[in-house]
Amino acid sequence: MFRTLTLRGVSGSLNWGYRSAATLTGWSVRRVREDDRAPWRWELEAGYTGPVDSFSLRQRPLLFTAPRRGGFWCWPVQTLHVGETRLIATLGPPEY
Amino acid sequence: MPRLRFVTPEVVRLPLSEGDWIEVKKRLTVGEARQATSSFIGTFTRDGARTVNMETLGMGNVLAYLVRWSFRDSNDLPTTVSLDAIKLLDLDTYREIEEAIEAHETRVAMEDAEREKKVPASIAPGASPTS
Repeated sequence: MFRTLTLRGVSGSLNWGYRSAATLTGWSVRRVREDDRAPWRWELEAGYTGPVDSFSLRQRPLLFTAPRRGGFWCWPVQTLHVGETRLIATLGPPEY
Repeated sequence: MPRLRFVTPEVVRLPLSEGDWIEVKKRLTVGEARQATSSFIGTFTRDGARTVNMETLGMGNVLAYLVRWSFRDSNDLPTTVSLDAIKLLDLDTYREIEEAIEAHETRVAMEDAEREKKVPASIAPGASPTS
């Protein structure tokens, strides 16, 4: 059995409602768990482009969305750290 | 709980004719409202007067409110909201959208007025402290 699984994409965004809080580039979401009994965790690492809306980034529910074939990935953001060029977030289970 | 002074991004779906719909922001932020009202300003003349940009008159407000719509193109693909897409709508559809948004603005203004009536006089704005 896999203990990690990584999804990658080139574009995505962090949204609070209809508002875009950050436009993401080159993202990866890693699904990990420490052992077979531990719950799955999702970790996002991404670059961002353009200005970020720091007010919207603090609001909840904040969603990470990214296009995929036939629709969109969507995860709720649980914690977020914004660095100078990249950001790291922990995500809840995917919503659709 | 104190009054929340920021606009929470809520979306309202408004029905149009023939089963179509638009989704609009429940309320605009001050930034969005300013952008909408300034969008019709064309150029400034030498004496400081402004000329109106008739080409986009009113469209700023529609664009500020619109989030999504059910409209599909001739290839039956969904289309996203943009100023370019709005300019390509037929006159009747644009008018229908404008009227739906105006009615929505009126409803929200009435809701706000109703809510203010329910605020007890003791905490209403302008209430003076009693000694």
